[in-house]
Amino acid sequence: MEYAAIIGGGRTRFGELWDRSLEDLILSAGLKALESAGLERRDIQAFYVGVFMQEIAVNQSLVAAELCQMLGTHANIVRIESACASSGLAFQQACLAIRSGKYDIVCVGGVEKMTDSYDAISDCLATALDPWERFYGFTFAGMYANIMMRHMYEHGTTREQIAAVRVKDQRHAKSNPNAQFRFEVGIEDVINSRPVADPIRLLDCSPITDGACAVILCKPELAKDYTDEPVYVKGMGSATDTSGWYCREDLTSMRSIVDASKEAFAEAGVKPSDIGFVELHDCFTIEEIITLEDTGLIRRGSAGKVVEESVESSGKGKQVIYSYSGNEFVTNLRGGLLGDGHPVGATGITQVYELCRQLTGCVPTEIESKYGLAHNIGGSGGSCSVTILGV
Amino acid sequence: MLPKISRESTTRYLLKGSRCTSCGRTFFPERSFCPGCGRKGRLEPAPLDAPGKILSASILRLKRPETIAVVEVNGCRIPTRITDLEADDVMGLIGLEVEPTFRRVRTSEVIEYGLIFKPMDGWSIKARETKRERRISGKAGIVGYGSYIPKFRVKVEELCRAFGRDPDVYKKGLGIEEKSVGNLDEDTITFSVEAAKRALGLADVNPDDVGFVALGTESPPYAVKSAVTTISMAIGTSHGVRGRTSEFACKAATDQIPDALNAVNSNETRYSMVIGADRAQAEPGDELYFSVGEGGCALLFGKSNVIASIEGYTTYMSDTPDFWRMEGEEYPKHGGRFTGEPGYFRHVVNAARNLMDDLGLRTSDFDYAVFHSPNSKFPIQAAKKLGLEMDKIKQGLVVRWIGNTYAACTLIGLASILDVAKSNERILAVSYGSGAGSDAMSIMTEDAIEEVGGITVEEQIRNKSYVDHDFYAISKGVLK
Repeated sequence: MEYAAIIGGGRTRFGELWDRSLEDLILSAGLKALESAGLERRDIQAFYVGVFMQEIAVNQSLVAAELCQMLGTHANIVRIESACASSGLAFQQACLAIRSGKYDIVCVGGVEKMTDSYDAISDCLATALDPWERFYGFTFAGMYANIMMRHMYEHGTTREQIAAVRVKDQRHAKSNPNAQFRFEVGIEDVINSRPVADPIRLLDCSPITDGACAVILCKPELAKDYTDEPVYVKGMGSATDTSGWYCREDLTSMRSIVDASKEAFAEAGVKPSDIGFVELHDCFTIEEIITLEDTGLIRRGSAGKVVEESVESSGKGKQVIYSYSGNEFVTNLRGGLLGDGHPVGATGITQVYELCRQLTGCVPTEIESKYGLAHNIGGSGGSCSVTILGV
Repeated sequence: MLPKISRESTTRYLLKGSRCTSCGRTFFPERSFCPGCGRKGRLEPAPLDAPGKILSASILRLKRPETIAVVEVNGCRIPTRITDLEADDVMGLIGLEVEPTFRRVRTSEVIEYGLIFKPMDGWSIKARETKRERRISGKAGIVGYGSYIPKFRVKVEELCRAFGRDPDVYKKGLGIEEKSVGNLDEDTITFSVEAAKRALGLADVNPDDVGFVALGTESPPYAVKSAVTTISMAIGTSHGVRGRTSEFACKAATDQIPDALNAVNSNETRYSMVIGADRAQAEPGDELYFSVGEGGCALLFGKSNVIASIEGYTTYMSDTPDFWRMEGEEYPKHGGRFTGEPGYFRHVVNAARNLMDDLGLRTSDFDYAVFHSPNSKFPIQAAKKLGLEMDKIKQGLVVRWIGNTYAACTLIGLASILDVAKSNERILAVSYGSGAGSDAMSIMTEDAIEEVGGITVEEQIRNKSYVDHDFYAISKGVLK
């Protein structure tokens, strides 16, 4: 049984959008989503919004009332904060609300306006770190550098393999008109880019991005009234891990991803090898390797090799198709967080929106599959949502 | 308002963790609930102020590179920063042995101190095989001492290069080859904590038993906010401790010794401590810029296992404006040659002579002597005026290798003598503080001195790493 059906969606361009405010962005994505579903604002019974750092980045709280004022609706508006997993989790809460029978039609959005706090953005993001990590000066880049180092040390993952993640993302981002960066890079470009937090280089990091995205959900049985090509929410899982990375028993794995994935696969009744499209949370290059392994898509210690070999064998300008255990799948066809951009609160819902486009044939690809997986994490894996969509 | 993490201190000063007696796991920071055992868990305090190994690290490319790491100590992982590290290959850091060091961790509205880690120095500390028997004396004396000289050095030659001076003239004129320089996360408080912990360690004294702590310095980090509170809590005293930070130029520490002895002799406390530490200012290009060093030294007083007794103590003081810094001024001014005869020599020689008169001693009765050393020349001349042989002042004359450490200067020289002294030897120690005054002490070593050992001044002088004038200027805040 499905939780809900996705019947429309829309997003803004991602990037340094100096002329757009947080309100402009969320309104623009929401209106596009309504239009694509052929609905009016008052058809929406409730709104779920994921946003991470509006209080500190743009000095504004109570986004619900702002949306009420802009849209002229007095419907229920719920804001979810779970760092970079805010809108992935907002989406799941919306699905639960539909499944509960309370609402027939809801809208889920995600937004972030980061460039207003460009100079303080590291400190804003670092609020999602463990307080003691932060006290001793950890930043997110520094945190992921520690993770990367451990993965290289424990599993023999190489610098080149990790760099290949960015190469793959940029190949894909090139054909995404909304992406922040639409250029290709090579492995050497990544390895030789400016050091940020050794061993992490600039091109290992996702950028600072403004952007928003929204989708419309309805009861599965109503879906065909609105669209010929609904996408169904087949299964979902969410879980947590310690705020401090240093507390974890396995320093190369995130328990939240492992648990959320198991839960989602079990609910959807599918196996990792059934998944053709993956939108995963590659905030830093190493996170794609960790995620491929923790979701069970690739065995631990092997992801780096698969990524690098797939990048090499696919050739310049081509989509990178991973082949593992007889299954062919793609990750981050929109360019991922690295190439498309990472407006933190909007990332989770953007993954869902883009997966729907991939599953309904809106994105040219050789992959044919009925299933897609969206993976969204907060902090260094402190929170995680995994959602399996199907057509 | 400062957030709690900026105000509370036990976790960051003492690296306190918790160990669950049910499952055996150790956690940092302290917890009241075991995440493994749930309500069945029983947690007890677990000290994590001990050496460990780096599990992972990253060199953050900030304004200046900073290394963060996860370190494993006694089976517990701690996020931390690594300091005094000269490495550029981050992968090579896995497995590196590190030890705690008290530093400035970050500066918010206030300076937030704490224990972080640095690569192990590998001191050759004499291991004490058996617990010493407690021998109680009737009168308080020195029971422990600890010196701290930061690892970095700048050569006088390098400073001369930066200012276009003739290095031979300066090296000869001052009798100083190089000076100690603290890292950017060090200051008077951190020097004091390291020195005080070494003194406690050498004497094997529980910090809870220290009831009086006095710091003498002319460079406290705050204009208003006691430095001795941070030092006392960082070394782990109880809240019943009485503390004081005071200034009397370079004699600010020796000045407090009678009070520390009185605190023990009057049974106010079992142990008391006097610390001299400085990270003094000097105007770029001024003579002082070529001679000021940095460091700290602590003396621990008590009646149990006295290693050296204070036989006599005399002060000679006058109102002499030879060196001063007014409120709000960045650098001190001094009277040039006036600082010599009417300043240093008059006070040092008179204090020493008065002391010997009081005790009926002659210079030949002393085995060692140490004088405040603004340079190498002054103490040598003072010794000559008093008729002391050069052999007797050699061991305490360390200014040539670390510079003038101000309030720590006489004490570090004394520590260097105590490092090598045998029992039943007599030491003359004379400090000098501009403004002006001298404290002269006659110190007699006891049998117990041969039973103790710690990190020596000589070892610290040898354990060094050179920095250039750029680093020195940044560290002094000249290049802000």
